[in-house]
Amino acid sequence: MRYIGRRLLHGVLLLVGVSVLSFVFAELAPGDYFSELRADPRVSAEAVAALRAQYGLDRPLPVRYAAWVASVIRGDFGYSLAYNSPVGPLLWGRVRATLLLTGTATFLAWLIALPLGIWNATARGTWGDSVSKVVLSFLLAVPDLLWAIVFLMLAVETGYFPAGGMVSPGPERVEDVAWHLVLPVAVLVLGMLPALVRHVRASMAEAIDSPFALSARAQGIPRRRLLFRHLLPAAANPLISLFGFSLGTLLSASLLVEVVMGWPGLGPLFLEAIMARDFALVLAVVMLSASLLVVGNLLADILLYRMDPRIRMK
Amino acid sequence: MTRRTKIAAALVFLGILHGLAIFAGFLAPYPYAEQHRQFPYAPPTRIHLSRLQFLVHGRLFGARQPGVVFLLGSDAYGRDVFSRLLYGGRVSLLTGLLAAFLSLSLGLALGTAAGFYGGWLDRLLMRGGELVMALPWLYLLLAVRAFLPLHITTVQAFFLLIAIIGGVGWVRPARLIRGVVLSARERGFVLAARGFGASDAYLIRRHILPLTLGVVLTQATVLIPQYILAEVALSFLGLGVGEPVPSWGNMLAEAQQYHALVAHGWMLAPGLAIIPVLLGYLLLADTLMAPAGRAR
Amino acid sequence: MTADPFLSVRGLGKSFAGHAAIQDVTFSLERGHTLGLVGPSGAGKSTLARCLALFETPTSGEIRLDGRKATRADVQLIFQEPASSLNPRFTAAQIVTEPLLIRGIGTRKTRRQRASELMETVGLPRHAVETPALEFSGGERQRLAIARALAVEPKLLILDESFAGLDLSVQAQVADLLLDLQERRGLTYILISHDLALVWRLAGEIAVMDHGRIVEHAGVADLLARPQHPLTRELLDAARALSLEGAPA
Repeated sequence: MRYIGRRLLHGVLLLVGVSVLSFVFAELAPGDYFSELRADPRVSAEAVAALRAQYGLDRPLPVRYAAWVASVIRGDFGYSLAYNSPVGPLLWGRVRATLLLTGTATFLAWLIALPLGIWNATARGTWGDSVSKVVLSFLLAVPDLLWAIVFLMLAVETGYFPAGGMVSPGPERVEDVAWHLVLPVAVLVLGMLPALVRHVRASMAEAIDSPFALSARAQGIPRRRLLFRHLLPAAANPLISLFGFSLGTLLSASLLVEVVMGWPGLGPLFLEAIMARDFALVLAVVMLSASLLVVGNLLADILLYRMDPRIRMK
Repeated sequence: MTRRTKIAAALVFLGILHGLAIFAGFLAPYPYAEQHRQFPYAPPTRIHLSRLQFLVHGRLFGARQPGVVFLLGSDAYGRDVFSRLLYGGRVSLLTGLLAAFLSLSLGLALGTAAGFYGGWLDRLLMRGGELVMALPWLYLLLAVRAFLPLHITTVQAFFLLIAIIGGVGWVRPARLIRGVVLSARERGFVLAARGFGASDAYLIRRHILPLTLGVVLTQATVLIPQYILAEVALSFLGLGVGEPVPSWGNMLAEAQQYHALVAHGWMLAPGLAIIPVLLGYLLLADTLMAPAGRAR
Repeated sequence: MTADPFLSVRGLGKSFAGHAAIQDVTFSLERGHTLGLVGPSGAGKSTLARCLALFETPTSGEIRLDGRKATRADVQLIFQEPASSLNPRFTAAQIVTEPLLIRGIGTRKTRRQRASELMETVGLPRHAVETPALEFSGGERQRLAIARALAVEPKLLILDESFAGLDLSVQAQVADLLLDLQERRGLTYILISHDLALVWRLAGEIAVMDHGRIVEHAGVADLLARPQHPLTRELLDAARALSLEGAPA
């Protein structure tokens, strides 16, 4: 429990650090939401200054930071000037969409990668393994962006799948969302799969070759039991760590896929906020993405802690 | 295939690809901005040698007037995709290389300092690194980009991209190098040299840095393709290199005319061109990182 | 003959974080002689070696060599692991002349000559000067380490478990080399070793350390015949139990 507490504290401190850094960066950034307005000759400088004051953009940095922290604690994440709405409501729908996309993709990717990797590990040196290696290497070299564009192109061409977005007009139905999910998830899975299978293969191979596995086999333990009771737990440690490491990559890939395929997640929101120089929104998304990463890593840490007695020894 | 052969093959392959991009000015039949409004989305031209001319206007080949030679077709403005592919490759590949150089240099300097001197410097760098790694990389790049002026010239954008991508990417190589330096610091020959009165600079230069070479090289093979993809992503999103200078990223953005894309498949060329580049670096990375001479 | 002894150590002490690794160490050694330093692990032998080699600054006491305070040029330490104390990528020449390079002594040309000389001194072939260190065997590497130590022409050589990990026959060869050098150049040695047979071979006198102090110091023959301190007796008993004495010929 104390271990989890420490990791939690570490995560919180990390987020605080990110928030401070972001605030400082935003301060140094030339211009803000009203810069475009200033360039417009029809708007007077006083009007812009008044707008700035109204939204509190003219107060000194530490004051604004303190105010921001206070409001975050209250659950108020600021106001988006670009969307003319409080930031909070804007975020939640988007976060749900991103989580749905990345969650589904992760689940499917691991579902495919685990058996594939295990099979590869047991069938090392056979032609099936070689073919698999070549195919996976090739897949690894294909950028996500290309998959996304090609799939959308096929969707438009064939009409089998919706060409982007999360829902079609009309009442929100699960099958509708699912239908829209297929292509974006496919892109993410194709992006994740090669590296994942490689890692599963490597971890399993190491477990299979390890002395304790050899002695277990010598004792005549049946294969299935060997796999699930002995080998998988041994391979689990590096794989859980891998999950933690790959979260950042996953979210980044998701950003791109969401933008290209019109999936209403955090990605497109972030992009629009940047284009509009809406720093309140930019800050919120930055904090949110960092939080997702922190939470994800925390979950991985907890899982590791539960599964690996060695960590508890420390 | 031996390890040496594989490494040589990968290097030659990559060298050719990069060479094609670097010599875009010579190999491309058209300047990247030249439009042929009468030939929008023209399919790839069939090659008739009689209709070509060679070594004219400082270019390897071109079309004999009044013909056109679009090896990979043309885009919406009638610009030659093949030429833009080469010029775009120059931008994307060069960005990847220079950004990698920047981040590796930073990583080497900071990692060595942290590992060698330890103490508060080490802690500061490691904590700072954690902050940088707290965001998913694309979110981080976009966030940094967000706080910089939106409207900048292409040249500024090019260097800005290199600075951002390289500037946030130093953390992982720094960590690895720090590890190497930490253990190298305690090696017997370092202590012996210290006993002879060697200065820190001497120890780092003569004994410790050579030991970091392996890590630096393998990191390079991993980072360069990542940074190429980063440039492509940023330019695709409109936050990198923009019109009229092509990059594989902004060229892909143009390909998003889905209703006609199937008919204009050549617009996907920049995306396809990335594949062999990544394959080359992948082969190099795999070969370098596989333990040499492992008994199977 | 009433002059100061060559090496004179008085009241030497070194503490780390309040804990005394060595204290009240006093002894002297004549030029050209060898002192064997024995004792259980943790007795402070290595700390004493490091203080004598001026790797550590003692918290108390002083070391005088040849009538004045010892300097780094006078004392050299040969480490335990020949493999790790030499950079495997360096050539033999680079290794043995590194002290000269660091101290800015000589030019590249003179250093190269010196490298050949030093190699010859320790019985290594001159032409192997450009060979990288990792191609040398363990015993040869120890010779390189000795050659390196000799480069600055020290007066006192401290050997801290320098023979551990070497084959017995190789140990014998290196021991012969050291004795030869001592005779030719009048070098003085302090030998730290767990191997009493080796100490018997090389040393003229032995000091026994325990818990940071010297508990007994006598000539080798005297010590073996009439050990005074219980620890000394323990060590000798253990050595005899493990030795070949009484084994069938």
